[in-house]
Amino acid sequence: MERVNSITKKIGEIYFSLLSPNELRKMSATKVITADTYDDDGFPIAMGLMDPRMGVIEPGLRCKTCGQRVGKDKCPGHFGHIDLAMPVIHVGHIKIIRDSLRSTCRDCGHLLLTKNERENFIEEIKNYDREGRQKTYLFKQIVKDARKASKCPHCGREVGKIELDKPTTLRENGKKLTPSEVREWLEKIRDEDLPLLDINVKASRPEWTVLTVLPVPPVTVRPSVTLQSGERSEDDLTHKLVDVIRINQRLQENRDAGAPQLIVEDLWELLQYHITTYLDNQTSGIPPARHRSGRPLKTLAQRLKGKEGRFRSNLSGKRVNFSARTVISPDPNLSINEIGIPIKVAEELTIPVRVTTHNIDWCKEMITQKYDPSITAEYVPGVNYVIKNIGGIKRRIKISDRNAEMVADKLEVGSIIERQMMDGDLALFNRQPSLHRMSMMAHRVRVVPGKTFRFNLCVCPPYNADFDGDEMNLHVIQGEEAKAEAEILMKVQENILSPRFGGAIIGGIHDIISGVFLLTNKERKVPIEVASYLLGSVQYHGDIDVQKEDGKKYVMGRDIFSTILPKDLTIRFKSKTYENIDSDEAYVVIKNGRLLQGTIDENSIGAFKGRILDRVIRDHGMDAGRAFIDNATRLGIAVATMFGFTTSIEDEDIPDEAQHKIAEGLDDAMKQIRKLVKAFEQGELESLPGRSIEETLEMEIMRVTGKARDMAGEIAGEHLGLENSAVIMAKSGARGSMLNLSQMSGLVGQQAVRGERISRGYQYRTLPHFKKGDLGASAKGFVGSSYKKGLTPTEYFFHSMGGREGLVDTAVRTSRSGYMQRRLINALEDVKVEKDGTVRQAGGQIIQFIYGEDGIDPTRSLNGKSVDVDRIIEEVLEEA
Amino acid sequence: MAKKKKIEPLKNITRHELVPDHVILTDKEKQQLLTEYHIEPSQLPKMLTTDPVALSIGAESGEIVKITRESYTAKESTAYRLVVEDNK
Ligand SMILES: [Mg+2]
Ligand SMILES: [Zn+2]
Ligand SMILES: [Zn+2]
Repeated sequence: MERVNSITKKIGEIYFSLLSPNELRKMSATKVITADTYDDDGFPIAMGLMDPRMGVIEPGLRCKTCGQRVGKDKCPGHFGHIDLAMPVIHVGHIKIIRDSLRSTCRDCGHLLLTKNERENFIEEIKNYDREGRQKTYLFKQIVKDARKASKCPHCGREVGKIELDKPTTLRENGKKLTPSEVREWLEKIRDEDLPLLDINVKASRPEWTVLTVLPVPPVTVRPSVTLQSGERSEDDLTHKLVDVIRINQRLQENRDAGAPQLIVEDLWELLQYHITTYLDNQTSGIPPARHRSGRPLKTLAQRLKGKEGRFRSNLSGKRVNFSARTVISPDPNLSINEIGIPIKVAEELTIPVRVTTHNIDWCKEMITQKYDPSITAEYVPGVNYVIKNIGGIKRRIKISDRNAEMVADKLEVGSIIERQMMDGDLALFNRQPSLHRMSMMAHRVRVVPGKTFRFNLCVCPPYNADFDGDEMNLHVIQGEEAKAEAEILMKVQENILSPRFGGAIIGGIHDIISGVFLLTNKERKVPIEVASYLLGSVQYHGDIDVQKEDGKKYVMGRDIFSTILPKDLTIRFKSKTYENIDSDEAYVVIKNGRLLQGTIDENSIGAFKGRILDRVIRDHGMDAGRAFIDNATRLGIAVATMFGFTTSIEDEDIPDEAQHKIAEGLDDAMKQIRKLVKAFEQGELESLPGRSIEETLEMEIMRVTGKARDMAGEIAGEHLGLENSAVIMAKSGARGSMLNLSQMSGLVGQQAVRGERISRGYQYRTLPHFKKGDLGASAKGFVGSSYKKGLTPTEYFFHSMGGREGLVDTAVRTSRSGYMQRRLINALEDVKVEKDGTVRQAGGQIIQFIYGEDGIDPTRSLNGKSVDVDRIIEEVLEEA
Repeated sequence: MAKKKKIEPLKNITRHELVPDHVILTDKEKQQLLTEYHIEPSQLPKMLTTDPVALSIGAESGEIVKITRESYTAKESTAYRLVVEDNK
């Protein structure tokens, strides 16, 4: 296919240049000579910092330069200028100044290169230009070569050593150069040498890097705000400019009055300081200028730089309309691709609808109706604005109770109504940090009472959301194209499969898994009354096997679960609950959509490893996957609700004899450790290959403590059976792990910092509670108590040390990976797969000739593999 | 520091198993490639004339090299690189 290149426009060249003092004066609307802003009556002082010739800020006032008003006519504001009594160096250009001085002669201004050298470099520059190569390296080389000269090859003057004393002081052979001297020197540099100094002759002269005129930005750039008290508060830039003008005036007066050189120089340096901080208040080497309150001032560079600067916060990123933010809360009755939005939000956010001959009656009705809780409990969407197009001019009419009827009557085809949100609208839902594409997905709107956003719990993992106060953002889609795109690409059901590994990232969690476990574990029989409620929760229509026992009617739990399975599903896999047991009953067997045996748990319906879920999505598509998750949610929650499911601290109780057994095992371990330490101290310990004796001891002890914890876990596990709710959660994969349980009822185990037993603290010991040099278990962070029994003070302390390390690790990791991701995104943002299968950048440069070298979409792959060979074989064998 | 030893480049590094196959395209092949992908040579990935492989197969600035390498995902994959002058 032909690539259309006609739309692409290339920027041929872009260059930045300096403003000359003349240009600055020419563009200036006024000279600024007084540091005062307003007079006693509150009017701006002429030739002061708020002179109305530099533009106005109050709406209605007219600018004295262009006669326009600020808001409506768009007076952009106009620059003024300050004539500096003495020249001052511009910090931003200090490197250019330094290099120019280093490579030129102070007397004659020639480059410190011989004629031959100079011509060679000119030739090189031409070569580089022709080949389109970067010249940075070449210019560095020119300065380097020029610095080597000890005498000017043109006039023979001794070349001095130029040093830069950060931020703005320059020295020649240790003697300070005043900005005036620097400027005189730079003036001598010949135009024909400028290209060799990387300066564009047509645009700039080097001496313009030393300021003699300071531009004053328009008032609109630094507006003052009036506080409620009537007091005026000036912008930081204005504050800084006041300082500059004050010192400039004093410098002028002192110099004109013939004050001693020392005083003039001090004032000159002060002026340099103020102008430097005016340009960049974070210049290293000088203290930042501060506000009276002690807050550092936000000057020019600070306005642009960094995350809160103009570029990242206002140009690359923008605040948007048609969005809402509030706290989130769970609702298992919503589908995974629905979102519950509060009525308050629905009334405020609107969707534009164009009035046509087909929908004009509906539009009129929308305009006249309005949600009123005193009339209907149910939410009724209304219209907030009608946009009329009268002779090319758009007019927005706000709809109120008074004008609704009238506007509806006069509504014409071609107008646009901005109607409130209603059930079924599409909206984008997002939680920060947006680390992957599933952080922003499209949901169908359901308007609900209350003040929070609500969604199905299965969608928590992709957003990484929980309900401890998390807030999320909602964006309403405004156009039809955007709506279509979101529908096809961004709906939750389209994102069940993760492009990271080609498996489901959305699936049953928590109580949903507990619920289906209870329903299917151990031949569960459900009384018919309960069964009908459960079947009602998934809206099952059809037949079901009813069994009789002792005159009572039952339905098998697995038959109830079977109702949410597709009719052609046949699969066999091991359940998570019995993953360590090797017998037939550990397997889940489903034939033609009927669960024949086995326990449904995380391995069936969970995200990442849910085999049934995975199969449903692959064989029946995303929508069937969504329906399956929705049904599993409803069924699971209904089962948990009907059967009841509780956990308490009693679930971690183990019998006394088990406690004794653990205590014995613990004693054994302690004995072993004591023995190891004794052997070590007597020098009898044999070191492991490649380890020192100290390391061997540590490793052996770690091994013993690890075994002690496993022992406790095993003994506790023997008494924690599947009748225990905490165990059900751990084994089925709903929440928690057996390790959590054994730490609660058995023992907590060795605490570690940096993967080693705790060794820091005091000299030769961790805490003053122990003898110096004690290498025993309890002195080095072994916790022999269980969480339930409680920790001793020293154990508690060690446990906190280990816990602190975990917290610090996560804090460090998030900030570091955040920055890493930022860099990656900036590097890869315009890379995309083109229609011909190549991966290209915006400029059409090819990155890969076929995406991933095999052209496979990892979302649809099986753990990165393009073909599921096992499955194909299985199917073929089945058919045969 | 001791005297700087100049490291002699391997006589034929292309025979090493970790070095994928590099072949210089003929003018005709080059033209075909450019029309197939509808690109200018500058849109191709680059390789320097000072690249050890470029040196050993004698690829010169402006030529295009076809690289065939083993791929984890696709078993074998081909890529093309434009040979360019070093920037220093
Ligand atoms: Mg939270
Ligand atoms: Zn104006
Ligand atoms: Zn000279």
